[in-house]
Amino acid sequence: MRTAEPARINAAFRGRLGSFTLDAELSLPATGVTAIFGPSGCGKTSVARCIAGLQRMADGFCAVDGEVWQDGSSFRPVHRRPIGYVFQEASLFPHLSVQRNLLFGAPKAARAQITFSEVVELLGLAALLDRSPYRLSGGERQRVAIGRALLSQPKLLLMDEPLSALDRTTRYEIFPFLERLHETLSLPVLYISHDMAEIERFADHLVLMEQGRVVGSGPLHSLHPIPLAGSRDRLGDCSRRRKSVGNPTRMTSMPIDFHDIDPNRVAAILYRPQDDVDGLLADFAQDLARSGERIGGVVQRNVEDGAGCQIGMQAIDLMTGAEISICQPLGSGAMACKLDAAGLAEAAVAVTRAIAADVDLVVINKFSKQEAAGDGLRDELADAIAAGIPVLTAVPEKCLDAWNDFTGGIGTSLLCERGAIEGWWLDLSSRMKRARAARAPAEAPAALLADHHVG
Amino acid sequence: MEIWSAEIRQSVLLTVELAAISTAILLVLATPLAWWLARAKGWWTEIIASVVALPLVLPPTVLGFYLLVLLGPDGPGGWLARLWGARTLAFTFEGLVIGSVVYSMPFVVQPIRNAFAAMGERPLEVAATLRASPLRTFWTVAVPLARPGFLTGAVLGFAHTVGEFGLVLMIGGNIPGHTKVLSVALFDYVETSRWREASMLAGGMVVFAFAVILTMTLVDKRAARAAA
Repeated sequence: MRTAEPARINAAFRGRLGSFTLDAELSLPATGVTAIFGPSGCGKTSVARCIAGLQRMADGFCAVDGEVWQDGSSFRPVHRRPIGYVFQEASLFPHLSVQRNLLFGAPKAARAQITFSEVVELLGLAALLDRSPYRLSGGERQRVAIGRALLSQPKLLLMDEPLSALDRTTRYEIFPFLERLHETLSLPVLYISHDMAEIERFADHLVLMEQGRVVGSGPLHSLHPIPLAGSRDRLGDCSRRRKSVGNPTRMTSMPIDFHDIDPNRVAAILYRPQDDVDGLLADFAQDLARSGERIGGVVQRNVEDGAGCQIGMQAIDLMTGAEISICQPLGSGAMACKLDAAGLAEAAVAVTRAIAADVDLVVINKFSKQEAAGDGLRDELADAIAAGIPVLTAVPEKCLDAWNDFTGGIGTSLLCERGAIEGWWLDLSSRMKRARAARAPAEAPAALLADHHVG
Repeated sequence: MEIWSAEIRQSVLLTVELAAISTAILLVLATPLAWWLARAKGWWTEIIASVVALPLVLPPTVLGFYLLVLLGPDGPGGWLARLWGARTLAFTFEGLVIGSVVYSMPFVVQPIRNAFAAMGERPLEVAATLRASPLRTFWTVAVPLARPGFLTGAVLGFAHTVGEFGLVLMIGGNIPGHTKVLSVALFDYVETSRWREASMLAGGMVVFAFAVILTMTLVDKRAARAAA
């Protein structure tokens, strides 16, 4: 890969950075958005910094669109490389107004691919121009930083986790601007992220990195399989898919693929009763919660006696791990198989607590029969969705109508893999366990991706 | 007014002139030095920094003694002075400027160095990715961002030059119009029991020192508010 090809980005960097070894080779199309994905500390930022020239690797090669920026004998300094770089923090110049920040890197000569007014229009900056960076919100600052990078007329835009320092609401505020950027400009973009949802929104091409190495590279959907789920109106699709139950290539590579979930509805995995996806969902959610994932909600599971006979139910608040005392005895050693009013109230509190903690996902299960008493909980779920937190549950096929009645106005986004779901969860949780045993918890998703499609 | 005599006026003007020239030279020398100290990473950086900081700890008379030797007719100062026909730099205004620059250097370098270090690498990296050459980055990003450091450094350098006594006496002597600065004049008045003039000078210095400290505090506060 150490050759300069036209219309491609060729890069190779090898060496130590502190205690970390980088050994990455890349050959990417110099068009569209290429995402570099991997867990924190996998070296994706180092690769971007090396390409920008902010970091110098003695053993490095970098050529963009046939122009060599670095090889064994030469190193073009950062300020001579036609790049734009958007850092994680906006890093605006505090002593300059928004307008002067935007124009800092703009060439004096008029031969601009993108003009000042285009950038102002594209990123909605008109009202901010005279302000000081101190008077901007986080999202506004990042928009200015993106505009500033664009106005330096780059031939390559590097974005190093530009959204990760922002809170969830601000991120949603920026998404449309990034999408417009992608649609409007022909500029090649390297987008560094550890968030698959972001990548799926913008990227055309994906590079997977792990522990300083590139472990996969290709068009996004060759590495990332077709979306698992559709919204409710894609139900027709689901029935056709039923024929290919269990096909492993249909599995999504992320534990829970937020992108596929309609963010305005409760996402429900529809399953046949004998598959017990409910139980799998409970196991999986508890595993995630125990390993420190930001996950909340309530899962319930059957309690069986020694002989494997169901004698009641147990409900657990995922965030606290505490058991919700909902199971009133029915006499003769058996317990109720349904939440009572107090239990529902406790479940609603658990969901509220999860919303307050701004978790990444709310999981509930076995609520499909709660239509009568579930009004309170339904409001909590609506709140979670309004706060931008996806809600995931599992619904047995036969309870779908009851469930739809329960969710009412919120609606349901069905994940219709049915039988395939079981294999998906099982496979996923065992992979998760293996990955977690080998690595720190936060790094697990990339390990999954890597081993799934590349290795 | 009888007390604002030509003698006092002369030493006030001389002092201000000395402090202004020294501060200007100090800023010119301290800026690149502070930039280098803030960014160099070698073990020798701290050695240089310690040498620069020596006047903080050394008694001014020790510094004055060495400077006297260096500036005198047999030292490099004398050799330099012969270029324009003089015999020595000791007991001259020029010698006093050199001494003041050496003596006040740490007070100017330290705040500027801290200001450069405090801004971190990021603004400089951002400027580089926006095609700014290192020189342009320095003038349009580093220096404006370090402005409070420059202000503090300049005020401290100026005030210290005004207040220095021991060093001035060692290398400047007490020549009216050439080296008789305020602090020396004050000493002189006390020696000759001219208490009125002495208390006037001393009082003036107290007011000056108070004004300097108040100004710096206010400027600091304003900078902090602007950054909020």
